[in-house]
Amino acid sequence: MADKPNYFDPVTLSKISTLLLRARYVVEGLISGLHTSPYKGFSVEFSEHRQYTPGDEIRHIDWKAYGKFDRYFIKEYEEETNLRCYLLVDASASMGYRSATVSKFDYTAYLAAALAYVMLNQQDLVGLVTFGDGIRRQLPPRNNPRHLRTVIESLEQTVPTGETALGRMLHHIASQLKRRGLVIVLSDLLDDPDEVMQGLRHLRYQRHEVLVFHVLDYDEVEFPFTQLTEFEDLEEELRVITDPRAIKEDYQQQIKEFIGGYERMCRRYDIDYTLFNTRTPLDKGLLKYLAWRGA
Amino acid sequence: MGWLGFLNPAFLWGAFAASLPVIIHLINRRKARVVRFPAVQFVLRSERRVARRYRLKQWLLLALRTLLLFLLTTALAEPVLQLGEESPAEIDQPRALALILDNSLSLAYQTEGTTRWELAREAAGIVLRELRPQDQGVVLPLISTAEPPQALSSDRELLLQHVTNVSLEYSAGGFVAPFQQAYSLLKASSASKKEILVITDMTRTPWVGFELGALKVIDSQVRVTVVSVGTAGASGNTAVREIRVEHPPVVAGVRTKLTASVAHFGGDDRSRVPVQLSADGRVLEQRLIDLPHGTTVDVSFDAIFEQAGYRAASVKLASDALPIDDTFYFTISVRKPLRALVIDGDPRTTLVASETFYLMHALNPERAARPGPVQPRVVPLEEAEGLQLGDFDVILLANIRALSPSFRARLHEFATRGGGLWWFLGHLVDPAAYNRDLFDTPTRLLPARLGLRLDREGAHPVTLRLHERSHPVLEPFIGQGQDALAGVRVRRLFSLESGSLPPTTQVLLSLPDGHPLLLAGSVGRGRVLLLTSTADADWNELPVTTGYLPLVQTGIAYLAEREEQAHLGTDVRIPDPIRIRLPAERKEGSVTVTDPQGKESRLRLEEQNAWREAQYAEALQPGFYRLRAGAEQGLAAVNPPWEESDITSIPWEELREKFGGAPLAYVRWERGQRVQPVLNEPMALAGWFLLGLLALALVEGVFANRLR
Repeated sequence: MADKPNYFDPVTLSKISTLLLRARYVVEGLISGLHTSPYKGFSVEFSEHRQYTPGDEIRHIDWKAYGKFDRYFIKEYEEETNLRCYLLVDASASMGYRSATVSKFDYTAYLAAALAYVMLNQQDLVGLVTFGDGIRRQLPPRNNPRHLRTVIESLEQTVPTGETALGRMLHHIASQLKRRGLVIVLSDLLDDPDEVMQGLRHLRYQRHEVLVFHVLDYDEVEFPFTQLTEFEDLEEELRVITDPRAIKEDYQQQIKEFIGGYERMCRRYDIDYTLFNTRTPLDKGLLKYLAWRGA
Repeated sequence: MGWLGFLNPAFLWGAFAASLPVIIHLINRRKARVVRFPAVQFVLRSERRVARRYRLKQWLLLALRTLLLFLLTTALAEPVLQLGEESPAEIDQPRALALILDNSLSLAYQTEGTTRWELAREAAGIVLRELRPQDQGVVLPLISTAEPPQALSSDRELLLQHVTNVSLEYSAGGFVAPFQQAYSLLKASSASKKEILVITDMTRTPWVGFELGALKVIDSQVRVTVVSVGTAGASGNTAVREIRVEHPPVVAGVRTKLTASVAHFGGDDRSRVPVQLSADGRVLEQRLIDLPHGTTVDVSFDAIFEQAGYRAASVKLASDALPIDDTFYFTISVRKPLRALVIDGDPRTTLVASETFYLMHALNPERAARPGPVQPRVVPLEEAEGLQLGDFDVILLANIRALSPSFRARLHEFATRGGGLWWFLGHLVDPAAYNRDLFDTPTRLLPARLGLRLDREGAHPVTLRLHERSHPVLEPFIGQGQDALAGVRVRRLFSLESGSLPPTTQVLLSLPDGHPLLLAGSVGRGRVLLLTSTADADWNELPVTTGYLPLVQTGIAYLAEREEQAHLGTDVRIPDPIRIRLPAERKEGSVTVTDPQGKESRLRLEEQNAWREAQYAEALQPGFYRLRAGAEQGLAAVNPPWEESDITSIPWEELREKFGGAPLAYVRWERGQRVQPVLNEPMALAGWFLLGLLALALVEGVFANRLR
């Protein structure tokens, strides 16, 4: 019996024609492997009590609280809708790097589409922002069935280009998002870590839950080059000729520190950080989300 | 001083391969792969931090690899270091040269129509023509009968003339004497550069016994160069080593078996090689033999020599590259049949009952078929007394009761002149009378005093014991032939009185209990044998054993041999002299020797004890030399020295050992070339290069591994 295709494998997925299908394969494949359904609907999220003031709807009075305190309290709900999720997808030129068939942006797009698919299936609101040195596309959060197609089309039409200004963009986006929700940042984070962290902290300050999906290419992590190479930066006018074997050890150490720095700082600011390389099976990202969602 | 050379210089082109790592490096540098990469700032930072150090190591690695390839290609070119070669400043200095020219027989070996001797002279000419006016030289033949030169000469033409005058000798020689002369002459020279140059075919023979350290005069500053004119791929040489008469003596008209030992030195195997036996110019027999290389093969011939006297015989092999030793010359002394007088002391009317029945059969076993080497005549004692004893070579006396005084006197005279006597005893023998008449008398005829007659009825068969194993009479019974003396029952015999054996008497055979059965003694020049039992089977079963016939035959041959015979037949190897010996009573004052070319030489005979002797030392050519002493004709066969037939080369390592640590050069000279000595054997450096290469490869491996 032939093996069933592994739809978590980015390379396998790249052979599937549309991003929608890819997202569906990933999600359905994952869910069919779980014993219990991850879809846990909820409608109202309790926020706080406040004293009744005239003009408030009487149906919102907490009669149990009245029984206890002999005063009218209004139950306030932070959201009366489902989860509001913002997918912030880095589309700078550096995301276009690929060591195999799948670029970092492709991988990010698969991941974003799969997440959108899951969320929309749960009636959550999904918004999308693609950015480089500026906002490229921005889709407000919606949860109607057509919205998935819109999200996917946006991802498909995005070409990674331009410099990265991640820190600045996060600030910008944080200031734009009026309502709190879940912010998932999908990026290679190749910017000044301090600026990036300030942007993330800004989001946290706005009381968003923040997930960072750090996507790097296999080459960026392992640095498998062996012959004399002229490295040309994808975003800046920067080039260097070197023997990769000479610097491999030092490079890997730097990357390790780079990743470790993000991990450490994210932990400090209660940001969920996950590292991906373009060869990591895509279910890892979904599981991460679902784990967070179920927590 | 020295120089570095290469045995395979073509491989040096491979040294360009040493530049490969650099070329590869440059090509790689030009072909640096361009990669558009997101994390270039990390690359740049690493490059600034570590690449410089790494680059330095890379350059070192590049240098190592370049050196490695250089060593490999250079090692393949087989580098040699020649130490001691003269510097340009030394070239103009006067030179003293002693040229030793091997003119031994082996240089007659020829290849493609040219002998090694011709090559040797040609090489000597080349060497001498290169002498300059300030140089001196001397030519020393390996074999020379002339007075050795007393000084070096600057006259180049004279030296060349010396070479022309040296001839190839049919002889062997040794290098000890010429080296000694060379060192002595060079010692007297004031030249700063002294050299001994030996032109030889590198056969082992002249070097046997040579050790440089054993010479009386040596000079460590004298450079020795050995020039080999031995042609490579020599096809070997075949020669006759010796010829043997299987059952001497050779008697006229009697079939004789001769065996020739043919040796094949070196080269390839030879098959169906014709070997021809000739005598007096007539081919007697021919055989075809196979000769594997490095072996000696025996070839047997059956031949009948019709005439008595010295016969000129030869064994001739098919011609090879050294023709001089293809014919082996030898003389055969063919004698007339032995005349044996058998005196029967107990004659009977029937032959089989006769005392001499077995004896007659043993003396002439094939008398009905063909003539034998012995012509016996059986007579009773009475008839014998009327015969001329001088007509016989040997007299056998079987069971004689008593001899008349006159016959005893005639017998004594016969024996004293060299005639042989063989006593057989029996029931008619009175030991007391025998002792009185034949032993205790000035005209002694018995070799021992007889004792009691021993009756040993019921004696068991025994194996006779041999005492004088080297005695010619016992020769058939040495080794496997000893079985022929087993199972002999001796029922009666005479004992011998203890202590009665004269010093000249030897016990040849005895019973296991010690009683002698056969004794050998002498009377004057004559030889005497005594069997202490009967000649027939009355007292013992010896006549019916297989040992009886050979015992009688060898006994008769022994008795018939007369030491005082003239030695006018001999075989010698060059350069041994031909020795001629005549009995003292011969009156000739000289002998005449005629060499193969017909040149006659008269030699004066000198008194030597009971002999008159002469030596002919001019037998330096192979062939037959005719000898004449009065009316008697003799013959000497002269052959080349056997050692010269062995053309096996002496290995260079063995030769070096003979020179110890002295400077020694070797040149393998080919026609048309200069004779350029190469001092010492060049030191091969390939091994060292490969060792260095191995060490570098090890360092490179470790280094490259650390850089990876």
